[in-house]
Amino acid sequence: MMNNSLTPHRPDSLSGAIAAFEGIQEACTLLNGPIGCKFYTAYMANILAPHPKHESDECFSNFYFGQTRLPCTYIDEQDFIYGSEPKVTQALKHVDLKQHSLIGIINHSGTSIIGDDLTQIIKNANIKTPTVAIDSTGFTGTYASGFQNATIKILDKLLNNKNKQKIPQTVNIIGSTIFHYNWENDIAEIKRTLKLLGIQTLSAICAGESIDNIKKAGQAELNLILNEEYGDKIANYLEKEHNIPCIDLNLQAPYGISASETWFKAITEFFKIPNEIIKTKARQVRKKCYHALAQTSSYTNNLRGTPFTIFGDTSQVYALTTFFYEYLGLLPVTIGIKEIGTKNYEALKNYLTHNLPNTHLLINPDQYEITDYLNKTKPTLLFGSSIEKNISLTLQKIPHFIPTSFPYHEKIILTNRPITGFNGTLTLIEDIINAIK
Amino acid sequence: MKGIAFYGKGGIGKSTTISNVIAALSVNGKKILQIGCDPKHDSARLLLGGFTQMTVLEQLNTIGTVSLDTVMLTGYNHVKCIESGGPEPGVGCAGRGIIQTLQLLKDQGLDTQQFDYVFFDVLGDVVCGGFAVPMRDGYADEVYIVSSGEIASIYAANNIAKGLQRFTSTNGKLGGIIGNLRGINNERQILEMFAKKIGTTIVAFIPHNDIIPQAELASKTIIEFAPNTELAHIYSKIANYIEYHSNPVIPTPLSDMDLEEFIQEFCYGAKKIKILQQPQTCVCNNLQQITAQNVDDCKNSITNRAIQVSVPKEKPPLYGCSLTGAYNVISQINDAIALMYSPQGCAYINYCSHQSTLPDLNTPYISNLLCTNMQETDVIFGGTKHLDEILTDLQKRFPTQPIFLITACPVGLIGDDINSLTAKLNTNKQQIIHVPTDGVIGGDFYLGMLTACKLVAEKFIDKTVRPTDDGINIIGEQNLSTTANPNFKEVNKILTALNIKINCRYIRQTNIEEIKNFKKAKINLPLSNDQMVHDLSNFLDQHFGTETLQIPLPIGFEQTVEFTRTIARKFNKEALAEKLITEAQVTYEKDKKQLEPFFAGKKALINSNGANIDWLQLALQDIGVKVTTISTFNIFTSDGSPLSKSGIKHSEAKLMEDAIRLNDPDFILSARYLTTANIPCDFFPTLPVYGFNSGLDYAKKLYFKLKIPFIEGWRYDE
Repeated sequence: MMNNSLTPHRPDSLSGAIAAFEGIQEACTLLNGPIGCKFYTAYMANILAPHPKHESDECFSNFYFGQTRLPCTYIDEQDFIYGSEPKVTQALKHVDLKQHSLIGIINHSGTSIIGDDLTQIIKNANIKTPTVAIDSTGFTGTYASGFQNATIKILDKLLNNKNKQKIPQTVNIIGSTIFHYNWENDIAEIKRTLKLLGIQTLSAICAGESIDNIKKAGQAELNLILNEEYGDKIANYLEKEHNIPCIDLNLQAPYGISASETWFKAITEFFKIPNEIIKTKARQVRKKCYHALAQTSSYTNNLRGTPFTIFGDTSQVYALTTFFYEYLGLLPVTIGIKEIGTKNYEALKNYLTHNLPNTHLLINPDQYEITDYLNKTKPTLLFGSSIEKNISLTLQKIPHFIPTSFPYHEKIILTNRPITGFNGTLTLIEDIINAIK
Repeated sequence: MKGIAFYGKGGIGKSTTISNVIAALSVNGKKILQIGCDPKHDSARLLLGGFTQMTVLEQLNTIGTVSLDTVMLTGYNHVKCIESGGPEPGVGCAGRGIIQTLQLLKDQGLDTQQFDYVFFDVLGDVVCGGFAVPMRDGYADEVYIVSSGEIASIYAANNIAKGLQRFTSTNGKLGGIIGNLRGINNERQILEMFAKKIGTTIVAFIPHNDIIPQAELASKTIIEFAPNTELAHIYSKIANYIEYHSNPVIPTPLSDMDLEEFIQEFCYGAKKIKILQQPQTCVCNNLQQITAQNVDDCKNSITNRAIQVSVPKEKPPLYGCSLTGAYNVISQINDAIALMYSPQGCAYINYCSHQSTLPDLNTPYISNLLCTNMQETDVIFGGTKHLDEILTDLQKRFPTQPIFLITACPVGLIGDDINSLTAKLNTNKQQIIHVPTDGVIGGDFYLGMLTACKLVAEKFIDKTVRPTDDGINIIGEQNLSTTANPNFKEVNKILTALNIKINCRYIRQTNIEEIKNFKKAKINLPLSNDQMVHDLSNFLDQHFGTETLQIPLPIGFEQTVEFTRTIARKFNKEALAEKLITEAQVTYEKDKKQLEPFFAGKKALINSNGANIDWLQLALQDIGVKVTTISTFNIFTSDGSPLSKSGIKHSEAKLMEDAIRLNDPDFILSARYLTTANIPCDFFPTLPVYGFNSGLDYAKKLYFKLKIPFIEGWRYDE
């Protein structure tokens, strides 16, 4: 979808492509671009997906420029004129010595214009490490499209055998990236519940996964998509090329109790296994939440009708909005969409039209628009990323901020507090009650 | 399916030739797709009976998506035709357009395997990567060069052969040269000789013939217009050659010198110039490689123009880019808008870098950054139309605020004429200022800062404002450093004690009004000492008559004393300065006395990165520490040799070992992290907070740090 907003705070397809490679534990991303394009992304990758493979000794050697990952070819004007081949070749040979399992080389916006043939350069460099080239990620392509396109290229490289036998009761998890808020806990939560059902997760594709596990992805029986925006194309690819069906994308993403219950039940139906565990789990979470919510409501009347604003990708926003509105009785006053997933976007629009016609729906708002709407609607709760949190600090009435989306710069996360699935529901309700009580 | 590309100098007759060859093949019942890779989009005109076609890029630009049904038309004898199209002359990037077209066609599921042949008609020379795409693997299996015997055409043909040689990894691709004759002397011989030199053959000669313009006027190929002519027979012969007799080779293009010789000998018929048989390379001025038998021959070679200019010597890496540097400045003008004319990612990393590195700002703020979110279509067609719309909307939204337009790499590459646009849109109430950074093309981070600082000064500093007596401007604050605010606070304490008012912080947390009144202060106080600040102060002093103090940074006691006295002298505030220094001395002595009992007599080994660390050495000496300083590394000139786990290079470890053995230090201070098992080490800040007590404040922390375990428990868990 064409992006016509002036929003300066959304990552684009280049970041998405980097996320795909950095989401493989043993891979190295080589950026064919200037040094300035790598610092922030490498910094965030190190915080959000640290891995011993990116040893600290790297940081003072060539192409790394003081950081332990994301080497780059430090392109300058001369390279734009004469082509980047000499530097790319040199950098590829340098990175080749580091014994990564995969190298992803990505052209930045400038080098993609001059049209250097990365595939040919890789051939000529005669390196041992398998290498995937992304000649262009587009200019202002979406983060999700950059991630999905790069992931498909990676899978094309890694999944050689299309006829490998499927492993019974196995799935892949698709649709999260290492830059997502709380990605590791969320994937762990889904895996945990699947394990209770006797379902094995072969691979969380390009989301902090090992290359060996990604190589097994073609043997899964079913693909699960956490967030439509980051997984629909990959799922289509895997269905077409490796005959792996995908969970129904019309289902809400697994945020909140009902959506999680429905989502996991759909999986049990696919595998034709009992769903008692899911029912029990949902019952337990409802019971736990009920006591906490009943107590909160009894001594404050703050919960029902509490205005909230949420910013995030459509799949997450749609599921959370319905959960907060229907289950908690919170009132969405403004919804800001970042990444658009077609099915969830249509569903969200219909939902708002029929249930919440006065809720403002913003697409990719810039910081001035966000400020205006926060001022206008004065939410008590704000769900989103560090971007919205920092904007909210300038308001007269500062809402309680609960992180749900990225980019998130506030805190390092070490504890196991997911926001998806059944345990994610408990995290969210805990945060909400503590914020408003 | 066989992919065939036709290349050649612009205007040489490629489209006419390819259309006729395709027509001839189609007569033989072949299924053919022709893809025109030329912004003029006239490639398929003769097959389609005129200009009727919506191009791929036109559809992308107007509708936003591409549908094969509308861009692929059927022409003469069921030949399918697609035109890539492209930008208007002088704007955008046609090469990028070709890349995008071929990708879009793939994305739309164009199945080339249904055809017997896919022909690519490619504009002119191989001027950039985009035009070379059709000759890469996956597109053309064979390439034919259309050329006349004219010099310019031969030059272009040789260039194409060079490109082809570059993109040929295994099998040869050059199918041959098609001579499109222009009637010059010895034209056939020239082309035959050239073909031989580059290792290929002449497929056919197409003589100049008046039927061609007649057929073009009728929008028909010769095959259709005059099927029984000799000319039609020649095109059929070429088609036959491609179908049955082609023998593609890897070309052996001529070097510049050999080409020059060829031109002299065959085209001009001149006497053969001196040619060097076994060239060797020598380097002159580090910029040009000259092929010569020996160095003495260089001069002769130059006069004979037999020069092979190579890629200029590699430059050192550019840290950051000028776009980020400029934004780092404009972000600090509270009532301005910073509009990045860039892909969204450029704005994103800048926005987030500021958000994550400026947590010490006292007042939360709304970033002034917006982004045009440059699209692929802006790159291909030129983005000024889109930019015009955005700026016009912004002018309505922010009617009085100046808008700084900061440009990214792609803008520099496509060459949009932004100055004309901003001139058109500027009004008396509002200025749109183009900051010509062009990402890394405009230089590094500091150059971007300098560019923006100069531009802001030229546009907004009011030269008629007269100075007052007690004002000072602060320049060169490091906006992206977490110490910028603490440093400012320390300096502000000194200035407040001296009764000196800060007039303008150039440029940090300021506004247009303060910048306009920059000249209310006649003295500038630099708060960093890098080349950017040096250049900026020269600029401000020369253009605005200010005086920038040549003054050390106030780091540590001695430098801060000199800093304070220098400022005080300028403002005749010596008495206040001495009072402040005396008070600071008391505090310093008190701290010194507290620290001396622990530190006195101890030996320190400092491993620095080459930066000035007087503040640290002097403070340690003041508390009785015997200091030895070595410098084993410099972060920005690393040669890439491997580092040991201790944090220093193997090649430097010996130096460190020797220094430890010779000095027997009680503790080691290093500018980057290192550990030793038996000597306590600490990582000292290379950018300490300013003030009289920088050194002793660090020593106070060190006092505690030296008492904790040499290596913390978690470090064993690596």
